[in-house]
Amino acid sequence: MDAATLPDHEATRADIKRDGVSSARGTLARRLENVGPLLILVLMCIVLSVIEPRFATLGNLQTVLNEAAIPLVVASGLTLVVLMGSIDLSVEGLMASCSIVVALLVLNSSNSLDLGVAGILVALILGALFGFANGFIHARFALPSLMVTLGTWFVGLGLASYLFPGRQPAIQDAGFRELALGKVLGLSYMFWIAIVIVIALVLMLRFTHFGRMIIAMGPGQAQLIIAGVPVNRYRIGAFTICGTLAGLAGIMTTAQIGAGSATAGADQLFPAVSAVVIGGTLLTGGRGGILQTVVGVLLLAVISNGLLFLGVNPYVQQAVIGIALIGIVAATAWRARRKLAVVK
Amino acid sequence: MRPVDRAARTGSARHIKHHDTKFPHITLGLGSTSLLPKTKGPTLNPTIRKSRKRALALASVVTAAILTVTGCTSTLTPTDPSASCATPIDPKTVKIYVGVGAFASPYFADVIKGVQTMAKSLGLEDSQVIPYESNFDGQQLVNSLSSALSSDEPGNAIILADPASPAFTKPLVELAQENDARLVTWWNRPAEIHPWDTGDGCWVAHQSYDMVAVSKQVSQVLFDSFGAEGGLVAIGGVPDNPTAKDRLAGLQEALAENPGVTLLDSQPANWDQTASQTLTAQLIGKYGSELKGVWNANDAMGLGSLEALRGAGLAGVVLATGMDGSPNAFEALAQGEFAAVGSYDGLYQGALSLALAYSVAVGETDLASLSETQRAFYLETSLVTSTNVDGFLEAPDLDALSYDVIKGDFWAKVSGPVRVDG
Repeated sequence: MDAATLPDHEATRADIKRDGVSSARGTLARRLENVGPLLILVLMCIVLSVIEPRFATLGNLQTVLNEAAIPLVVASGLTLVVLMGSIDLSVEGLMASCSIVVALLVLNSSNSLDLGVAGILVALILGALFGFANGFIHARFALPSLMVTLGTWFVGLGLASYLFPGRQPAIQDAGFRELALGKVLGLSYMFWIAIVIVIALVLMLRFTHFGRMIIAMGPGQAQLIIAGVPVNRYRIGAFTICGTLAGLAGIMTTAQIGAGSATAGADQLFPAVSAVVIGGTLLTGGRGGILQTVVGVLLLAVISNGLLFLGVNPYVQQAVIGIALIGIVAATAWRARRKLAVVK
Repeated sequence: MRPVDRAARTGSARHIKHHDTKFPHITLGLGSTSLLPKTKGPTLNPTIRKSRKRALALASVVTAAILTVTGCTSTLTPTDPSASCATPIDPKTVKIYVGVGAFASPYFADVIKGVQTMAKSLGLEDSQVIPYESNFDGQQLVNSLSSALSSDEPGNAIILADPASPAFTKPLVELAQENDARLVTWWNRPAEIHPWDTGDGCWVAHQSYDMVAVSKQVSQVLFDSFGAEGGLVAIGGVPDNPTAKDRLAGLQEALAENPGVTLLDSQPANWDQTASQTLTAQLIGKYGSELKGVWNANDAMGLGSLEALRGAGLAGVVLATGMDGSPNAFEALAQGEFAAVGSYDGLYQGALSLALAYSVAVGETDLASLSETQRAFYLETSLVTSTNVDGFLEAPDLDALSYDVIKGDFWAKVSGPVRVDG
């Protein structure tokens, strides 16, 4: 670490103690960095409500939140990995294989199995194993997480293709479908599961040794190693949690579409990375947190929902989203731009 | 209803499409390694230079090992430039390469099964049929086939493939020509080239389906489900894909004939079930009771839309449509949740394509005697509704896919010549 980055590093250490957007300390600029995305989210909701009254209905709010459940789970897991300065590209592959596995194990149209909750657990364990493998290979053999997880992405997709029966397995387990169809306060059980996971991860990062080590590893792994901290253990742990959550997201997708799908994870990775980054978590690690990611996920959900309500030409929508993202990142992370130069 | 039409077919012709990167700029972030401090060559310290040399040496060894293992070193035999698919193949050793979009697509799984069934009926070994998936990337398919063919004896291969986009049809034809292999293409062909004027006799035929016509029929049944008065939304495939465009064109033709029906919104969901579910859920929120039907460009998206309707308590009230003919879509039809499904038969398509190519390759059929319609044709499609769905839910009759049955008339199920670029 060269001298130029030391001031940021000092600030980062302060952040370790206060993950989240509610910080009362720090400079005005840093506070803006933390609450900037939240302000943009609120502003965007107000503007959209004024332009298009149908946007601001309770029904639409419920739709946005319900559709945000799966991205929330994926992006929360990813945040742990990004906080360490690593990346996990394998989430789409994991979601695909876990979707097919869970669909083939609960009551379905392709075979006679009916394992119920046990089937869900098997799929979750598969996700955890993938995550563990990511972390183990990356940490133990000192290989870049980018390459390792790129590999497991395709292993996951390959496994999904291999297990895919000639006919798409439709879910016939009514209890399993309830995850998506059952609602409390108009919000699906999946949304509430996502909320529980968010809260658990926020508490973990804030109050446990494991959580604090994950944040500390981003900027200062070398110091931790010198201090005798078993960093590999934490690294593997974070990847395992990320893999498990990607598996859970695959299971949730299966419940949502009512069938196992080898494309269950399609187009989930880049929105999740985007959500993590625009929330304010640095790709270099050490700064950011789960709540920031929640804001990032909601921002993306509101942008795409808003564009739909405004009737923006679908051909233009993606370009608008791209420009909006660059704008948000530039506006909220201007101070940290130097740190973004390196992706581990 | 013909038995083969009842095939246990697919979810989606192309439901696993190109990864559509919604947030392309992020790749810039991930790829920003170029922003790393650059080390200038001449000032490299000796240790780095040494480690670079070592890395280079290691890379060469690894590459050499990979080449040896995959047999690439022995595959550099030049192909015969004078080859023109004139020599008959040897049925005992012929290799049949099947290029599909994705193995995990129920439709393409059926196509492969159709080819395998026909191969069996021809007395070929299972190992002689070799499927490849392009992941809807034509370049990937051309590369895979190119490596595979280069290790074979020229003149003893049949290629049956969907080039994934019209841009890769010509490279595929040239590849077949270079290797003296017989080729049947599916779905994608640019308007300016035809089997009879390109490929020097190696390109046996091009086969597709008239998506405009069947899509129009499906749309009309959907309109009728709400009395042809009211609004609907359309969930399309990948916007620039010719098949997706044809299917939307069918919808537009039906709309033109039904002035009481309004297209409230048309959005692409890239053939994807999950994307369609998300999109439809939001469109239900936007249009509420104005929404009377959800048109979909394939079954996978139709099933995704159906789940969004189910989540809103509208399944069976607001009907969806599908296109492809997957068993799950037929079941939704039987349940009264779909209005109609346009269906085409992957099993028959695979079986017929091999039968025709084989017949030409062994010299039973003389290519020069075939008309243009016999070499670039649409196969029949079926409109499946609640009244005839039962026949489609039955298991397919694989016996009807034998060579002896099909060779009686290769064009028995042809509905007409390929229009322009289908």
